[in-house]
Amino acid sequence: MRIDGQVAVVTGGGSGLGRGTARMLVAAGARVAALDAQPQGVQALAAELGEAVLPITIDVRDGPQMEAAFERVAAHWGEARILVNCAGVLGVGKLLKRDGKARELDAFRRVIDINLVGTFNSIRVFAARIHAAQALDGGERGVIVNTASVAAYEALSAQAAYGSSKGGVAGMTLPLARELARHGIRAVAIAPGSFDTGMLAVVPDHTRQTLVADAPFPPRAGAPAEYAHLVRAVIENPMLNGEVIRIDAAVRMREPQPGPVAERT
Amino acid sequence: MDIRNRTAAVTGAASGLGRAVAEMLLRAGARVALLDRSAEAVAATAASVGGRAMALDVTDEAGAVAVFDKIRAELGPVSILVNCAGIAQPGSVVRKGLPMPLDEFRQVVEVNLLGTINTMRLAVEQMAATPRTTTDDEAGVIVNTASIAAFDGQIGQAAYAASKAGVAALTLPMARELGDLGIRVMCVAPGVFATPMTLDLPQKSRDVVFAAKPPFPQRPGRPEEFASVVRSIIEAPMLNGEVIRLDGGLRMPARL
Repeated sequence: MRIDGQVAVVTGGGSGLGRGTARMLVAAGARVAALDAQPQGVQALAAELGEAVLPITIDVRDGPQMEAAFERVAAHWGEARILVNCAGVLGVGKLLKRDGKARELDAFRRVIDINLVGTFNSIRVFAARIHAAQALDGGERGVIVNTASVAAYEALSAQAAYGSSKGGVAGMTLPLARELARHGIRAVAIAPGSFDTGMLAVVPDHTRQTLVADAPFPPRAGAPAEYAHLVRAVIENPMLNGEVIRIDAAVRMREPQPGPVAERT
Repeated sequence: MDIRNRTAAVTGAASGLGRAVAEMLLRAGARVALLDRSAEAVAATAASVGGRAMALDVTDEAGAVAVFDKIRAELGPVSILVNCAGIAQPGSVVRKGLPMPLDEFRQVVEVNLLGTINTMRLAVEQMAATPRTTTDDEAGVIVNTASIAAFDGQIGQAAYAASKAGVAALTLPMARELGDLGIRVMCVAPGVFATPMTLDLPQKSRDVVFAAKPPFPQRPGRPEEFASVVRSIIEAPMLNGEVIRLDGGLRMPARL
């Protein structure tokens, strides 16, 4: 799909990967509704990019809020053809707390609700609105790009909730692509490794250093603009569908060992 | 990596995916060596799209050394290698009660897997000699062509699927091995594309291949769409050690 002239919805648009994606989309000629739980980030983005950004504060877990947000976008610019889901939380927590007691179920539920159910929430509203719209070149009606994580495949300890939520995002890619294909809607997921975002900043120093030191090449965290570059490639290439693409500098996460990060040999 | 003014080598460049990749690289400003088993065919392609045509059977160890020496001398050291050379020879492991001749299996593996390794080792030698000032500098990018048959090979694809699964599987260990040199290794696994490999199959096999309709778009891929992914890969430094399916969501059943 050509991005120029389209309307896009980006969840988690107020920071990190979502903000990088929103900037890319605006630079490519789209108008972007930036959805975020926090108003500050999306308002700052609108101040930065002007009328090409519609900031919307929303809890992605909330069905009616999501429906209202898409209604607002449609009234403002017309139906969105592009949906990029970047809203997510890390919510680190081991099953057992330090006192040996089981962690409360709500701590896990919150992560799965935001990352997995929240992603599905925007997809269901998006797909319902766009499935009968005028088809574009090649019969395409819409493109969905979801953000999984390398934690979908090799989550670390204390990431049971995060890993399973992202595993769910990765796992629904193919059935979504298969179901929505007859409407000309593609679904692709991207599984990022370490990227310079607010989420990485809350990872313990030692774990973060191990992740970056373990990356074969390049040995650094990715920039949100690099994530957005791949989002753009996905949107523009119609043959990409039903696939989860790792973008991670070839890292495979391993449990950090106690002590200093080992020198690379 | 910025493609402009880089030297690129593309195998299987006379036709199909390789030709589209060569065209893309030329348009993006690279110096491109078009390599193909058929000297005539690759010369004709270069006459049409540009670049330097060189005949190479990717299974020929000495021949590949000579060709990569020639590339270095005439176009400069290779920074980009895209392996598209490959063959598909459908055949059952047991036919009419008799085992498949071993050479039939071996030939597919020779071209698709060993041929890929053959050019990689020589390209890496040139990439590794590239001066780098920081650990973030890229010395080279390698993009190999697997196939969705690597993951959902059909009946009659034992040799093809095994060879392509080998190509997919070497992506991560090669990325890990070459990371310190600033070289990335990526792989694309295309679904059904309209190329001579599929179009020139015997009628029966061709009907089977093209009967496989991806969820969306419900058509064979176009070589330029393959080239577009290769371009995105070359330009995105964080993409490394990954196999990307490019198939419109197609998963091949055991048989059609």
